[in-house]
Amino acid sequence: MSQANEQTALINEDDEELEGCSGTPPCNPKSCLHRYFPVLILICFLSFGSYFCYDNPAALQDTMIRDLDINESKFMAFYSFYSWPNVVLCMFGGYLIDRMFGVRLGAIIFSMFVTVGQVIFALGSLFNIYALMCVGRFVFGIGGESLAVAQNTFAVKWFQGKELNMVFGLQLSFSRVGSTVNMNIMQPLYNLIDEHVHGYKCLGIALFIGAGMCVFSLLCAFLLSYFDKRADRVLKRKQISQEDMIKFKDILTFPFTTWLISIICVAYYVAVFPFIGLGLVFFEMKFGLTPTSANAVNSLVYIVSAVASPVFGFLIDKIGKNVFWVIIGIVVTLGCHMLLAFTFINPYVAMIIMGLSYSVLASALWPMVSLIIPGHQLGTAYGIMQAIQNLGLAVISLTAGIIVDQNGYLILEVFFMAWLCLALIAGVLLYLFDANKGGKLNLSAKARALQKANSESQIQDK
Amino acid sequence: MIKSYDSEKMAAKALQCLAVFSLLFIIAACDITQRTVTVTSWPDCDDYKEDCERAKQNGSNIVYAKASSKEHDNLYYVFSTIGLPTIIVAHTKEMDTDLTFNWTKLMEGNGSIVDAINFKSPINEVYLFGVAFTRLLEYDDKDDTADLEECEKKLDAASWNIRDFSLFTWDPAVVEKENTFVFNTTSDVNLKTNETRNGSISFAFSVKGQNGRASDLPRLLFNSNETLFDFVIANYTPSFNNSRFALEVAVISKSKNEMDVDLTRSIDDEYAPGVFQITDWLTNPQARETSGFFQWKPVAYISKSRGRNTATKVNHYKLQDLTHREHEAEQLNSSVIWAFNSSLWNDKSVIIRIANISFGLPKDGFYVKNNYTAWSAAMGYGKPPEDSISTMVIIIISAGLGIPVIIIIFGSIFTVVRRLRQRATGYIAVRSDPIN
Repeated sequence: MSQANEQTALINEDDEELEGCSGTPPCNPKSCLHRYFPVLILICFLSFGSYFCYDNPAALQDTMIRDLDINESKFMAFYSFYSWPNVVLCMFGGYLIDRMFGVRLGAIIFSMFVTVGQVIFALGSLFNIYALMCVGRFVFGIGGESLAVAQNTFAVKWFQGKELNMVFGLQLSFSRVGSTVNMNIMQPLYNLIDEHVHGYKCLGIALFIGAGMCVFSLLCAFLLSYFDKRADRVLKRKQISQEDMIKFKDILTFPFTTWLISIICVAYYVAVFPFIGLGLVFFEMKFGLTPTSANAVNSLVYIVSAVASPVFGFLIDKIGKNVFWVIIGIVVTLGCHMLLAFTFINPYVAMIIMGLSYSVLASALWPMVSLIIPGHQLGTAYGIMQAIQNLGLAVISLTAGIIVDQNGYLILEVFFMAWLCLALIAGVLLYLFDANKGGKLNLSAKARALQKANSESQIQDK
Repeated sequence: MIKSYDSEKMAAKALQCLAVFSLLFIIAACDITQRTVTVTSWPDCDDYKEDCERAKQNGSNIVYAKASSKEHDNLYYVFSTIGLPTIIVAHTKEMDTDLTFNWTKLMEGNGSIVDAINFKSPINEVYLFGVAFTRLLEYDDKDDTADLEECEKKLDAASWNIRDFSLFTWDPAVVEKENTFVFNTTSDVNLKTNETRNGSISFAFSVKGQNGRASDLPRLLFNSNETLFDFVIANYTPSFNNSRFALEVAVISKSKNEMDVDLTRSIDDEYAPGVFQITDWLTNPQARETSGFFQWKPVAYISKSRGRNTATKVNHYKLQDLTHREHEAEQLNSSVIWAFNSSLWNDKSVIIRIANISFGLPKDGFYVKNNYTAWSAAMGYGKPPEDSISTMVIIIISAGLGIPVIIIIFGSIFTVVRRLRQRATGYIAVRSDPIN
């Protein structure tokens, strides 16, 4: 509805004159080119630094354990210090974006947390203080997940009703690019530095280069804020009044479908990512792959989704029917797990299909929230969804480890399938509830455009 | 008329019952589930006091185990460290007897070992089969392939440290409860004079007399026709940075057909997480029910606490005959394999195959990671036991996948019915927010 108001406001009032360079399409907020370049690119790079640095420890695992003289569990703590606080923190992050900072200031603040966190982490390594490194990861974590919430909110603000599914797909693909680049360049980078400085100092310097990526993303946050503010002015976007602002108890008034989407989100993601975390041995032992090819199979979901999500996002933009795509994604993933659990068919097949179905689901699922939650509450909604997802991933990763140790991979696969079934039930319920309310989520793109045009003309008529 | 018809029917029924009953009986007869096991170390020692004492002192162990059934379908096991660590299994039917051991012949060496072991009373039919461990291979796996064949091609002689099992000195074996005992050695044949090492190699045996499942990973299923054993290399100071170990094993069977190594894959790894295969070295694949087998899951553990994180792979390589293996043939001659009365072995129907079994998986950190490798295997007579998916797992699968499916089916039926009823009564649901 706020969307509609924006549009009417635009039509009724006088436009600001943009002169010189700022009048050219890339710089003109009214031009659709401006939306892609520079805004979309800035949105994508906004979280690049955070995804790049998140997996720094994994990319340097052996080196880190050796240089810092820590054991496996102390190493794993680098991830725990990131993930556990985020079970709660990103919910507040989203709330703060809505309530206090606004998305612009929020993005800048969380980017700063990310950068500062990585700097502390690197300093800790430079002086070989393990505790300081953990503090660094914690600070990094405060920023990281909330920044993702800010990124989603930006995406909705600029692209709702346009290419939102594709943008979400593209964001997903950039997060994968970020961690893939990290995985591939950190060790060579370390080796390069190792020619001059050795041990934990070398590690510290390598991590500082990671911090450089965060600074780059921080820069993107500043630029994006500038463009966003300018667009608000030029396009005369509606300011949210104090009364409209979200209060914490508004969370309780979120429609039931929001919670169904959250359930799908957590039940689906726990059936994919904890599985990948335990997949290596499974592919080696069950399918007789060498460690190298097992590793390749295991990372297929990431690689496939990096390529496929923008494409599927684009298609879903054209077709609509988001709920339908979500259900398809769940069912196909369920089929992939069945292939892996009950057959000896080459796992390349199942994992590629799983990558595709994951892309479909991710690009269709996240934008749905923006269709049911008004813009001024979106940060909170995405924050809550992310928090629930983090909680699910953290708990289920632990549980999955225990299950596989005691009962083996067959039972583990059944466990994941049960989660997917839960997601499927939630998906079917989502369809039914939504259909009962007029089927807003599952409209085809055509119907959605028609409806939008109608509502605009209605408002104009008034 | 009616009556006779009835009686005919009854007779048919009785016949049917009988058939089923006899079928059950046949199954029961083939598959003996309960045997009485007696285990004796240094059997017949009293008759050969001097030689036997000498054997006890120099670590020439013999443990004799007899697994007898009520039907007099008996298995006789001889476990020995004389010459080589060796296990021989003899199977007899329809008679109950014992083995006798001549310690003078056993201790004399130089080919006199023949006929040292005999049956007390003459027997008409016996099946013999044995497993002997000939060499312990250690190699420097520089490229981390964990592939013995690959390394045989690539590595030079300096990258190998091969120990003949005949050169080890063994500790005296002590039989403990549950019919278990250990052959252990702390000697290292490659030790230089000024070196001391505290590593050990051991074979721990457990003779079974009933069906069951091992409590330790990989939790092998066993029956009453088997002996389970653990092979452990603990605290050995490796010769190389990237040392891996392998065993050279010879299997001897009184049969004519070619031996075969069968790999059975399963989707079920509930008993040994991460292990989806079982390997059966069949001595006579054409007659599984009446020949010997050597069975293992292709998994070894690099730490005392066995688990998914400490598992590594076991690879076996192709079976070879002894044509170009004079050294191994000679070693076998010194083992108790040929100590059985020569009339029991028939030259024309004896088959010997030798193969390597290696431990390790690329990137598992090599032997040096924990200085420990343990491997569990089993050998026995008859059809090797096969794992099947447990009822528990079937229940979990049906519950985990069935309940959601049922919910979805009933859910959709419910909604469809409700909608139809609404349509029939002309009632239209109130739409809270029809547009947007």
